[in-house]
Amino acid sequence: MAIKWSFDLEQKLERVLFDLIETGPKHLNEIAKEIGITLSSQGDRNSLKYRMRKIADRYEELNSLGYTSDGYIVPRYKDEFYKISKPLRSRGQGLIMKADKIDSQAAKVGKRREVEQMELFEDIMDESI
Amino acid sequence: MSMRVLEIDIELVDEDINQPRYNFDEESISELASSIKEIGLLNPIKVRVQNNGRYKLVFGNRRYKACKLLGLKTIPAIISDDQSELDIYLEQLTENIQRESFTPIEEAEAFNKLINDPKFRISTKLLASRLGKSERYISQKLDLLKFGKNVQQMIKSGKDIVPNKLTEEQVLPLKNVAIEFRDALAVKVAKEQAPVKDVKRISVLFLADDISSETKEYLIKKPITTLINDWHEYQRLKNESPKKTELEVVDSTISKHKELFSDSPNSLEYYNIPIVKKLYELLNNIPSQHVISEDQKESVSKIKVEFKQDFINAVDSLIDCLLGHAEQWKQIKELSSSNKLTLIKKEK
Repeated sequence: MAIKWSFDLEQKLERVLFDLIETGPKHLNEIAKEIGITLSSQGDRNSLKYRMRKIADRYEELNSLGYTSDGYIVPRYKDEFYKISKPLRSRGQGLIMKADKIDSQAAKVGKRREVEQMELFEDIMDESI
Repeated sequence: MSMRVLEIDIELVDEDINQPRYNFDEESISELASSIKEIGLLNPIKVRVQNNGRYKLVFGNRRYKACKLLGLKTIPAIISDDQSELDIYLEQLTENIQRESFTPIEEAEAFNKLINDPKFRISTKLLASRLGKSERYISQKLDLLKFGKNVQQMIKSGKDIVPNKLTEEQVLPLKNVAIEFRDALAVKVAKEQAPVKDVKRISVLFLADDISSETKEYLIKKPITTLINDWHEYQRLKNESPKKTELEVVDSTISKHKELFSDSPNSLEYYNIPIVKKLYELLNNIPSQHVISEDQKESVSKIKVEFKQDFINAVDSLIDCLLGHAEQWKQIKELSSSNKLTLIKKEK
């Protein structure tokens, strides 16, 4: 069953997120347990992540909330910030590389189509003669 | 009630420690003293005679204090013969109630004393009529006493919002908030000078049944501006949650006309009779008569020869259908009009 989000539940989540500054990293399941919900599907996990992002966007103190291999953290020290930014950056670079690859494939398709069109034009010219 | 104005020895006058007003601004008393020094005392104070031959102040406390400050030996006073404690207290209250410096808490405490003190024990209704105020006015003042002493000290008269003070309008929306949050919230409102509209919104959060006290404890730590954002979020989520809908099974053929007869006790029974059902079924489905316009009539000429016969056949079947309906419903009409009401004699 999907999570029924109420104001009360959102406030509990908000408090857990603020507490992360003191308590340190927590995995999604731990956060869910703390606010009294169970994550029974991927949809539930996504829903919780979405609410976390919404709350984090609302408060400046939580803006840097992010995921590390130890769980979700609100960074305080330099290395903690890098721990969040590094995978984000490499993910971004990976996406750029993939986009470049697709672009190069697109360029090849473009050439092929141009050749096909020229051939078609030549055929028509032959017929008309 | 008789009244005498005498010049009495100021040393023979005792202050009434039980009188409604107890907050006196030292500065304003010295201002009054210098005014008396300049132009003299324009209005006499009012006192009543005690059994020991001394006088007790009824009203004019500030004037008395100012004269004492000036070191005057005598003071002009109206001697009241009224001995009823209730009348004197009410007189003191009426004298002070209109004054700006008389705080809402002093007023509330005076009302509370008149209603609950065994010496008076008068009803709110009687108090309202004696003071010429509404019962609501009195109960609103009494609500101020629900707050703790530190909050009561912050409550001031007037409507201007100033730091670390509370107007009655600011504090009253919080009167029903749970006791553990009420005072803390009032202090926060005073500190952050929250407007009345915002206080009303915040009180919604703290009065809500669907917010746990654990969450309220968390909310109380937030500043007013954040609480206002939370109120918006609360309203949004409340509107988002699906409302319980109660489904009712209704006969769609009769629902259109049901409201016309809803007052009739046997209407449902009537609409369940098969022929009645059929009638309304038809009435709901057949469109009301529309005049065929000239354009539509002229468009007949556009029908090509090969489709003409089809068109004539379709019109024929429509006419047959309508005539068939008309014939049948004429019979039904005749049948129903033959069921006449007859009077029968009832044997006792």
